[in-house]
Amino acid sequence: MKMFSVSHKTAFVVDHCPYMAESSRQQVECDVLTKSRGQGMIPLAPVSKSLWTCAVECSMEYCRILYDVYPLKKLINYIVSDSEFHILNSWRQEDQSTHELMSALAAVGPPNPQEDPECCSVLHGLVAAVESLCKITEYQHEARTTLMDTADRVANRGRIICLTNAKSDTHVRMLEDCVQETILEQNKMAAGSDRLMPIQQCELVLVHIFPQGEDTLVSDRPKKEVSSLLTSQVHSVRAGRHLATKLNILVQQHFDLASTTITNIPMKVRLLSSEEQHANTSANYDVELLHHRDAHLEFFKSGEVLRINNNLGLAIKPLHGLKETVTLKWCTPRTNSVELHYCTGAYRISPTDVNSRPSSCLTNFLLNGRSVLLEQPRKSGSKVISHMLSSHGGEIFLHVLNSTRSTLEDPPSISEGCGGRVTDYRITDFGEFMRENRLTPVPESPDTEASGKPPAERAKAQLERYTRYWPMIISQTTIFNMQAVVPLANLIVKESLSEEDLLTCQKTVYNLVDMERKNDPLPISTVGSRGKGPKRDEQYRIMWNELETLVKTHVAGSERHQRVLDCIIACRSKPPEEEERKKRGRKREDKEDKAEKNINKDSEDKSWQESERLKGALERGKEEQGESEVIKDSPDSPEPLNKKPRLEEIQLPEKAKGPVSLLTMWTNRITVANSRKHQEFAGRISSVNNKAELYQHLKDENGMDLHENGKATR
Amino acid sequence: MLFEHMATNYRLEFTSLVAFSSLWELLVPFTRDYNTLQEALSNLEDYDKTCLEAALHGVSNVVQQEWGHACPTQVIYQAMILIDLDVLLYVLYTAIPHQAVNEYIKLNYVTNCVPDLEIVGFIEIGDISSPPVMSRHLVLPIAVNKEVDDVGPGTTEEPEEETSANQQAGKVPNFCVLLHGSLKVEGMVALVQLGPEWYGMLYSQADSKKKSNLMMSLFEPGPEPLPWLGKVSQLGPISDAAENPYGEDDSKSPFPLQPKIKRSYAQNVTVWIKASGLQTDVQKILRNARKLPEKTQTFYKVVTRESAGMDTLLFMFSRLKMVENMEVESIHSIMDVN
Repeated sequence: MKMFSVSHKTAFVVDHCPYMAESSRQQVECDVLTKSRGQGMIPLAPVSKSLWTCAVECSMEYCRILYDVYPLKKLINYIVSDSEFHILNSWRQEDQSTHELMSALAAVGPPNPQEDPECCSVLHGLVAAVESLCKITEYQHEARTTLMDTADRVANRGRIICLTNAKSDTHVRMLEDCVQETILEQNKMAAGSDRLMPIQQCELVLVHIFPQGEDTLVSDRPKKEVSSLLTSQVHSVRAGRHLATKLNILVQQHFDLASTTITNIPMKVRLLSSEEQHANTSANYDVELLHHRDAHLEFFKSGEVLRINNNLGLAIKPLHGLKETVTLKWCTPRTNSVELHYCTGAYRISPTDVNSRPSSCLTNFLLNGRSVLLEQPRKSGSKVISHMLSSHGGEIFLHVLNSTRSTLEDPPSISEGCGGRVTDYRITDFGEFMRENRLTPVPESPDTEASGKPPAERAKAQLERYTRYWPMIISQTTIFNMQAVVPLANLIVKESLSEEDLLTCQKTVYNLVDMERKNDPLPISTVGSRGKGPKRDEQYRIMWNELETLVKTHVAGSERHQRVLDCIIACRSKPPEEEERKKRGRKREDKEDKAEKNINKDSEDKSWQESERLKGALERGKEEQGESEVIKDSPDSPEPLNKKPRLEEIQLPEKAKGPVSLLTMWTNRITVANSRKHQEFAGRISSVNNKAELYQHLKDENGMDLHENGKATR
Repeated sequence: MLFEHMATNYRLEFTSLVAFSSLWELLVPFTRDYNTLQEALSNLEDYDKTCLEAALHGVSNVVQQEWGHACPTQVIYQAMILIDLDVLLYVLYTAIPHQAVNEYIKLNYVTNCVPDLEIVGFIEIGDISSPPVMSRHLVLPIAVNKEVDDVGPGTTEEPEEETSANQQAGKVPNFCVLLHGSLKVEGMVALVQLGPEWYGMLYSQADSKKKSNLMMSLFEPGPEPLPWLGKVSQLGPISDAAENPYGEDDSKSPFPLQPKIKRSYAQNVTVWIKASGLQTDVQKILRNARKLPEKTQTFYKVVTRESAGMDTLLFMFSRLKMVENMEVESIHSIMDVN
């Protein structure tokens, strides 16, 4: 399959020779308004346009429609020819706009009647057009470079539309021959160049324009092959509205367009009366739109539109009665509700009569964000909505809506399927998650490639991070039901954490510790459990476990992620096994704690927790070593000599359970760090509950082992 | 036999029965009612000869009338079953194949969908705005760790055991259901990627009877299926943007993308092909000119607006005679104003 059809490149050659200054003899009445005014007004005389003006206007209409429907990849090169050729733009995409062309045309000005007719010819322009067709466009270049070994699939074809006033059929033949010769010549040159490509197919469309009231000297001729490279057709057209109609038909044929007429558009009309007072009335209007003909595919297939002509460009038909348009009825939109329609195609439109009042009313209505459904008139009287007009970013599209029976009719509701009976999905949370994971266009920049992943890949990576741990139902989670966890949960999923983020996460953990100390209730689900559900201690254990699970899925992310986990492990209450030990200690110290009951937990769980704890402790140790360097000079650090309280704290990892205050943790950390800096007294090391047994050796000597305080020899 | 198989395994598919010989006849239009099909089949009579071509033509007609052309992914399965060897009678059965894409989306991992279905991110319905799609599919949740293959979720005549199995499955949380619920509540769609440069969207669709479903629509393959979203590969997470493009209160949206050059109907173009276009423009100036010198500002405003397009056209007019007749001293003096 070859890429790039004939319609990829269109070269317009417009004759600018002195004879084009001749009047088209179609008069335009300018005095419409003043007639009613009577009195003292000098009436405006009608004006008429020159052949040149007609040619320019109609060719610009052609371009306007083309650019509306195909903003990209359908390129026009506009050439004006008199004693030499003037190329007004290039094939480059940024040169493709009616505005650019209009400015360039204004600079060219009307034909100069004084110029020597002998040196003026449209031939200069035709030769330039052929040369231009040999130049490759940015799209062809890109395709050639990306395809490499299959670069021969990139075709170079094009069309030349020549607007001129020819002398005779012989003159026309001379023009054709000239184009044919130039193609052969240019192809030879192009063969050896990087920026040029030989023309493989060229379609010459000659439009002979003659003034109204004259007989044509040139006869119409359907498309014929001049050679294997060149086809040619001749259209002989009267200047004025006939020419406009002709070019409108040509642009439709050349670019596979079709016409839809929106009928019954209600419109407020301002009636101008004598003193510029106006009365508002409403009337219904029709607006004709052009668009790709695939928007009518459904009609063609179902035979509702008779395709008069599908061998495009071949038949020359009478100018009148050619209008082939599908009529669709406007359905006044009821609400502005956002709805997702089942739409099988969307095609850009261009109004045929862009600045008429009905057209601009319709387009402005759409550009303001409203959508209009269109109804297909059916004889049977049944109402079928088949299309919709809607604008997206300043562009209006004709949407094709599916109006046939759907194979998906009457599907089972999602609540009847798997997971359909679960009632506590975290719908709101997931909604929040979706809002956080909305997409936004990221401008393409040369350095995005350097910075790694394209935006969409980054979006996917973010989704992956955000969902590493994401329980689906409310009763499966504790932490996501807790407002207190939110700051940490929001931050931990980030790709990287700032020092501030880390601090926030740690604060969150300390806050949880505080909650536990105060014995605040947790939103643990009681679903599925009998009675009142797990005890408070157990609740906190579940919560800490879940928090740990969440954070663990992210520790590989960065060193700061790891530190969040460390913080949790350091702060969280210990598993039940140690609770037991704590209890014994507590009996002596008797803090304000309430009575606790034994918690039966399978040993597997315990040992897992234990090993995790040890692992965490090891890592923590390493880290604290680093930390202590920073802290040691701080005026806030405890007096190194004041060792007594510290001793108590040293034991903390073993004994302390549950509520650990921030201060305790901090001093503990410092103490551990400081304690490494000196040798501890042997007595203290072997002390139990801060009491060292004296004269132990005596007992040993007696062969008695009197370790009784649980200072175990494990 | 075939119908029995289908009735068991493909309850939601549509089947029609076409008999053919030298002519073809639609015996049963597309339906899910397999009893009707069975009945029609047993009532079949023998005809004269086998003419496959006519039959295929008939099938194509039937399908197009019923479903329209816009189902490019609906491959039509055609199977010929020899019913009676003696008289060479064929029955052609056509079915629209399994539309329901049975997706099992792995729990907890939104992005690891099977098969190769990745969620890229989420977009508001208003922003994606009725995009053109090439096909639509029903997304059915499948029970995890269970061999539920082609069993469409239940209709009424289900065997008892199956019902209980289904009820069991109904109680296991399923990501599809969660996703569906949130998409519905938030009015959003999930943009999914099916392959390199092939995208689609997941969304909640409700039919008239309060039933609601998770659907997937597929866009035409290509890097930029919707001009108003731009290239999908260039869509990134909002966290990448310096400030939230949706605004703190969701008052704005980065979509739709605006094209670099406005379309003709979105700018003030001057087209004088029809006499009325020229007349309107001239009158606008005349009307305002009459109010001079009082309403100079309004006059300038109109002239500036009009002349932007006019001056280029005026250059092209070689025989514009209205100039001498106009009450305003000349068009050129108008131009001088600017």
